[in-house]
Amino acid sequence: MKRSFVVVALALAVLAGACGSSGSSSKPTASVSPVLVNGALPHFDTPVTLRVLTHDSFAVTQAVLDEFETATNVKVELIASGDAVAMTNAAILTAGNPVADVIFGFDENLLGSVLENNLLQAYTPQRLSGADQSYVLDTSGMATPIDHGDVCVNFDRGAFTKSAIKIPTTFDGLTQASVKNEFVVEDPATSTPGLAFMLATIARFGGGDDGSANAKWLSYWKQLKANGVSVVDSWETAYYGSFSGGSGKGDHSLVVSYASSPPAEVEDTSLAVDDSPTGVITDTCYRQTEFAGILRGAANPRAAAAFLEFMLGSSFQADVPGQMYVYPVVTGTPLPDTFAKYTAPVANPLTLPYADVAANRDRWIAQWSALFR
Amino acid sequence: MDSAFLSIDHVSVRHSNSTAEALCDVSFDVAAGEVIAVLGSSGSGKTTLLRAISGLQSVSAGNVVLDGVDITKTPAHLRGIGLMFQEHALFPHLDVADNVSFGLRMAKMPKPDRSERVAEVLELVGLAGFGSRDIASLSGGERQRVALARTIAPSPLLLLLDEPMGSLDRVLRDRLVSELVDLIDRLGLAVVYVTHDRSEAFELADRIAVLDHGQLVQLDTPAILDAHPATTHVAQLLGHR
Amino acid sequence: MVGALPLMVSASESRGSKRRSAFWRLVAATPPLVFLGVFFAWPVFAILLRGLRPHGTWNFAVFGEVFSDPSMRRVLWFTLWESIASTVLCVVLALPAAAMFARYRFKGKRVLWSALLVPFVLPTVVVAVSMLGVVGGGGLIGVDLNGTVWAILIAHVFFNYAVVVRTVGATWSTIDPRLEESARALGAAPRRVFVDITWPLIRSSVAAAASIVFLFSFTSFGIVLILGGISHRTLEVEIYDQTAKFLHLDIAAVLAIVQLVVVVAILMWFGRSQRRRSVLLEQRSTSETERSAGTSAQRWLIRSNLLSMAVLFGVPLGLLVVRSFSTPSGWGLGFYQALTDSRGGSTSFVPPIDAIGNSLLFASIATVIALALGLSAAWAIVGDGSMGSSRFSRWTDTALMIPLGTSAVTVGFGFLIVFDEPPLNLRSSLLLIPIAHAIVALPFVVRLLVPGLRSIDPRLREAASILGASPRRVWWTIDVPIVGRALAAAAGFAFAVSLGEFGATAFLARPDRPTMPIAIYRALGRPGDYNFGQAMAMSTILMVLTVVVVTVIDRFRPAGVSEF
Repeated sequence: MKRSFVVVALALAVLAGACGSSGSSSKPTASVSPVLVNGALPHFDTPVTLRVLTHDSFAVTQAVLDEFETATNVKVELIASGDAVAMTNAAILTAGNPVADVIFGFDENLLGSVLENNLLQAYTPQRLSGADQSYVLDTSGMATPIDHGDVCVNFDRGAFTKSAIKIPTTFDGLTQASVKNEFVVEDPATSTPGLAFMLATIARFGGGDDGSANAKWLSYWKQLKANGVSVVDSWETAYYGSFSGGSGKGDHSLVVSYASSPPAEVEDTSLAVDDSPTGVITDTCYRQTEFAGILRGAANPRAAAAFLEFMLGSSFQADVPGQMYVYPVVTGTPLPDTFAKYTAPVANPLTLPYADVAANRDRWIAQWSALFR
Repeated sequence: MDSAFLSIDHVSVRHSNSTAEALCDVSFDVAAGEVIAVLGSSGSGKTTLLRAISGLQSVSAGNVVLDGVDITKTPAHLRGIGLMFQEHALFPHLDVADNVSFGLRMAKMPKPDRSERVAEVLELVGLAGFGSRDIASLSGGERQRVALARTIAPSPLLLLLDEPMGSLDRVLRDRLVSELVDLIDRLGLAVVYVTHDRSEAFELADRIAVLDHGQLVQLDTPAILDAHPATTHVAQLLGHR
Repeated sequence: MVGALPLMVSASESRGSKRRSAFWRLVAATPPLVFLGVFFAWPVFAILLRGLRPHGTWNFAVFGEVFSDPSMRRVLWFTLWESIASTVLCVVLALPAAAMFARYRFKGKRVLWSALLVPFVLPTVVVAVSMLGVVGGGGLIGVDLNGTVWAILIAHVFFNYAVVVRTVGATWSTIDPRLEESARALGAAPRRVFVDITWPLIRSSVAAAASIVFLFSFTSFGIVLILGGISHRTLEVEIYDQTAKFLHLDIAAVLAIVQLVVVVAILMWFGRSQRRRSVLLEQRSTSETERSAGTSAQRWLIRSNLLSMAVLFGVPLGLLVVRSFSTPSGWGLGFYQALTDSRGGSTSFVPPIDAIGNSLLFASIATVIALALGLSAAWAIVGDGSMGSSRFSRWTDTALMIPLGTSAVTVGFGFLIVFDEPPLNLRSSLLLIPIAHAIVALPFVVRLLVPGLRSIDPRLREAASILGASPRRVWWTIDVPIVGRALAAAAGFAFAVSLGEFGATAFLARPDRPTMPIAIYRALGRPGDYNFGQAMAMSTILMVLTVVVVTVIDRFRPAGVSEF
């Protein structure tokens, strides 16, 4: 047994050596022609396997996915590669010779580097016309918006009721002495919601083009720091480790989370919205849109295009709130009851142009880090 | 005496980490069925001699010939010689029967024959019924008998014993020596028996070889040795004043 | 008289035994080294090259940039001292427990010995959240250590305690207590006995364990992130961010090289301290070395050890179990029942029974690979004892340890760029999971087997040889069964390492084949009591599973091996 292993290992080594030079010849970016047949998903005559690269919080109802597989004769294989940032960087590293056909789950903060690195090939889904066009950020037809959500400060209603302190409603409310040591945020260098909240402060207070330590948005962070804000590495640690409204029973009553977090804390759906355990400070919300696209060099670009159409179809769109705690982009998609009831409508979320984010993100994180490390 | 069964022919051994020779040009013959005792003080090269004969130690010069075949270059496990270690070296992870049958297993003896032979040999050394005992549960004397049983089980034609009584008390030792004499007689084996104990040598041996600093200084029957020690060192070893 | 054994002279056997042994050692070392070469060295080399030679030209300027950056220097310094402090603290706290397990009989010893591995296999995020409940603000001990270096050190001891106790304990238990007793009888006080007799005999296994603890602390990632607050950053965290977050492969390459250099230097240093030992010990059975606690000092040793273990492990793990039963509607099995609720048939839902199955499958394959390669490597390192511990042994040993000191993200991203062409397009192959686990487990296996092999009395091998066993058969009939205890311990460690591995698995696992830690992490990634509760319930199941599996393996002996 030992000997045969040597043989196998050596054979692997030889094979590996033989194919070491992978030469990343950049193929011309062809766009894929429309795939829908009379508005319905196409059926492939021979079975096809489609690989979908996603982040590790991707989820869809199995029955919904089965619908796609049956209709198209395409077998879907999901490949998860860490969080959205790690997934995108892994895709950039393998640009032109991708692990999968479709990539799903990069947001506008990653959109710039996705386009810059020529990761995708163009396809504008026919069903995109049904979507709220404000989510279509990329006009070259590479990145298709699928869902959106908002990163917002959440509060633990019980804690505020007990202490009889007024719940803050604005950014400035978070720097008041009444909530000293109550606020926990995620490190923008390591956490996606952490990054979004930092971008929210830049969108709100400005000074993004100021590279100095005195940028306006940094002054706000200085006030937060003076008011005892605590910074942790990830959403998990913040929400479960530090937030008193989460199940971990931490000791902070304010946390950076999502607009869609409150419904998950509701066990008794007869509760009035104003009595639900946690709530959202809508003034602090920052828009997050998730995109999908066909990877350049995909083995099955037509099946990939069909998958994009599927993700904008009514069943998938209706499925995203329940599975991923985000909102559909196609207008008129019905929302689940608890979701509709307990998520606060976010009228005017903060945003930044994705190109600005791509150009300045690393510098902003460095400026922020200089203040907090 | 008839022709030599074992021939030690100008054998020298040099250990890799020293310049002095552990054995220096030693030659002697052992006839079939003959018992030779090797006497010498510690460090005289007795154990090295046994290791050279058994193949655990390669020789730097000379030849070892067994039953007409030159086995100087044969690896130890193919020589078919029995060697009983000073501290017995029983396998702690095997029970008594598995220890005794180890050599039979290596010789690919079929299983039923093996158990039969094990029972036979254990009977021979007076340990009938001990097969399933743990090594750790045995007394010193019992361990010694198991080691002997293990050594003779594959029926070697030549038996090498390295101070087999070394760690036993006087009373037990005397009893075992007389048993051993009896057993060797019955089996008709050629034996090279290393000891530093004069009385053991005299009781067991047909001839006695005396080693000193790696050299064979005298090889004679006990009676001649006693009467005519070749050197003062031999005389001292034999307890003469 | 039964026929004499066959005599045979073969020309090939007549060469110098030294050259022969060197040749076979090289042959034995080949499988593990080739394995590491293909699945570790090559991807790492490729990703470093991509960083330092991005477009066909070398970029060495980045070295200057990194070394002149004071924050990078701070990271390196912190990483060094926290890992040394963690190692020292862990060894000091774990040695008394190793003595207890090696020397005394007490109730529940076997189960406790197996349970020791539980902290080692639990996913970092689970333990960290649980630890926050103990040492965090409002935690059970009432002192807020969250964000301090103490929280990091305590967590490192928590994770690595088992490494020291089990490695040293196993060696210690084979030392004849009569050596210590006779030293006592000769007038040595207990402290002198330890310093003059026991310590020299266990020193090499302490060094082996300490080097592993050091590597784990040096490359600590999750614990530093979660418990250390944002001001404490290790090299590992920095490499992860530079690679996966910023894709600054040049900076990441420099840091990875620094990590590699430090790891190799430290390993060589530990290797030297091991080299000094070449004492041969007669291995004793536990029934011979184990005693009932006779004096009040011994009873005190046992009690204080059990107490400190209860505080260190019982409290955070107990809290986890308690939380798994504490549903919003009171005490009950609600979270466990919810594990079978498919949440409307989500793709992210995998029945826990499947996750358990996946974990067991991957762990079994990884254990087999690690044991086969580990035995081969250990034999190459030990040789037949005639050459002592040569330079060759030390280098082989060091090479096997290096992966433990290398960032998972470096290897993971390396995989992406080297295994990208058929027929070796392994990037999304499930086989990479057990392979990655085996790489992590291999050094444990080797470290446990080498002392076991070294402790075999060479006369046993000689006796077998005289009785007709060829070198290969000597290996199978003497070495393998006698190192059975070490082998069982090694299998337990390999299995546990695989059960708990998270970093590499998160990169490699496909969503439809998650392991337990991945499933737990997934549940923790969603808000709500039920997701949190299910994570706690699955962690509890993983804990129980670990105890069961490791207990079974600890009891297992290769065929024909009795308790000795």
